[in-house]
Amino acid sequence: MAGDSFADLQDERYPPIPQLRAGLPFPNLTLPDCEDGRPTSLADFRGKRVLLHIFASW
Amino acid sequence: MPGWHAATRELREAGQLTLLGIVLEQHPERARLFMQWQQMRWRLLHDPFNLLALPYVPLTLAIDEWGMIRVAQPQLARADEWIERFVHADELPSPPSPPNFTTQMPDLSALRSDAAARGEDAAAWANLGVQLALWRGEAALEEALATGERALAAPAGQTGPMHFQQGVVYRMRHDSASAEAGDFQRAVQHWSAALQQEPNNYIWRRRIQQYGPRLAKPYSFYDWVPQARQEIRDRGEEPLALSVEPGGAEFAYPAEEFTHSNGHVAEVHEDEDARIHRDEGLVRLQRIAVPPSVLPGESLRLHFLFQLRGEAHWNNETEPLALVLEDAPPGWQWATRRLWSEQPAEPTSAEERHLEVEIQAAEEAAPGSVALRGYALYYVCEEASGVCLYRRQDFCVEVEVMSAAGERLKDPGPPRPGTKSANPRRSPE
Repeated sequence: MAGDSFADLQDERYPPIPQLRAGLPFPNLTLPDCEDGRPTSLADFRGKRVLLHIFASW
Repeated sequence: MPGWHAATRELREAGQLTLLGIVLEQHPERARLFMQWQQMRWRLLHDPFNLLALPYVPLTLAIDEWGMIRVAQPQLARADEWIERFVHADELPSPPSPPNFTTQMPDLSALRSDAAARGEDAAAWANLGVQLALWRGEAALEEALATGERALAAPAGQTGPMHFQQGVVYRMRHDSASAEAGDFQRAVQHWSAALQQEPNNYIWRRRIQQYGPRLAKPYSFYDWVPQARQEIRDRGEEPLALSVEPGGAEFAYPAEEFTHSNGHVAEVHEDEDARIHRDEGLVRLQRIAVPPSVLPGESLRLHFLFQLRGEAHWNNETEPLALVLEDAPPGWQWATRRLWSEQPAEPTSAEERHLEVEIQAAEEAAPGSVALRGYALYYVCEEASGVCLYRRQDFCVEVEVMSAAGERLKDPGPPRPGTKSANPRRSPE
């Protein structure tokens, strides 16, 4: 899988998360949008290159 | 995150890259306020249950047009190279079998039927509880809690995620108009139970630390909020409103040592002889211990929530509500012996009042239950223009001291690059 071709760009200071490693599909997960609650998944971004940040503001 | 936002500005404006966020906090509007402050106007999704089963945040993923993860945790320092190879590449190799994503609200009736048909399938009940809370909110919290209890009662290998999720639902109800006494404490107990099973899960640990004592706190969680609001106003905008204001433990900075007041009882007692009339039901007082159990020498934070019942109002034209802490057991130390609440300028008001205090267990504390006692004094009116009374309410908080055999692992800290100062102000995660 082409994910391997970007392996050198990974920040190795973070331990890998097995279920979210390069080369795997992102999980098919529908979550509410924080602004209006509308259901959203990666299907809404099909055809786009996405930079996804999973975070907390604390 | 602000670093990636800045590094990708031109790409976003050109439509070559989409930024998307998922926030794992209990209260997502805090992340929205942070994004408003940083002028990061991209979509943000909410996963308070940590359905992705992450052990830590932040996590950044570069995802291609098919939904495949191309880079996990790309290096910001090499953003130019990453942009050239990932964003500017005309064509990325297509995966052998592209994922078939769908955006779909869960069919709650089908999940209900499925859980019932499976009987004692913990995962099915847990999933039903989570989806009810996520999509139906306050209207379904009672059912979500009952469903979560059923999941926890079913045979299961790993109950940590279920405990964490049940804690999230209890805290949701605590913050709702349907709040019941004890919801916050139950949330903390479930989060603690989850952490006992997986002490390295940093997401679970942070949820407790958010409300916990200063000694266990890695940094102030929400000290950025006042600055964010001020800077947003300075730009001429109105800061997004928060449904639950952070306070107390959520603002507190970590402490290296337990600081305490040695005030003699006589200096703190206002009603040593207990002559002031007791409140007979105008104010409900909830006590929450975070964490609910400690090892000898550890500290915990007690939260006191004062909620008016019926038509009762606070009388603000006199002294504020006071909390007096009685003698702690030998060797235990209160951080302070007396606290006062803030009160608004209006003559009367009906807000919930929240006080917090820390106590450190004796180094030689024996395993078992310890009773911490005190009382509150307040002026409360039977209604907004009704008779005002000065009342006392006694309380007792039971805290469990664990034996060394039940020792929790110390916070290993998140896997994050760089170093932190002793009193850090850091970028939100």
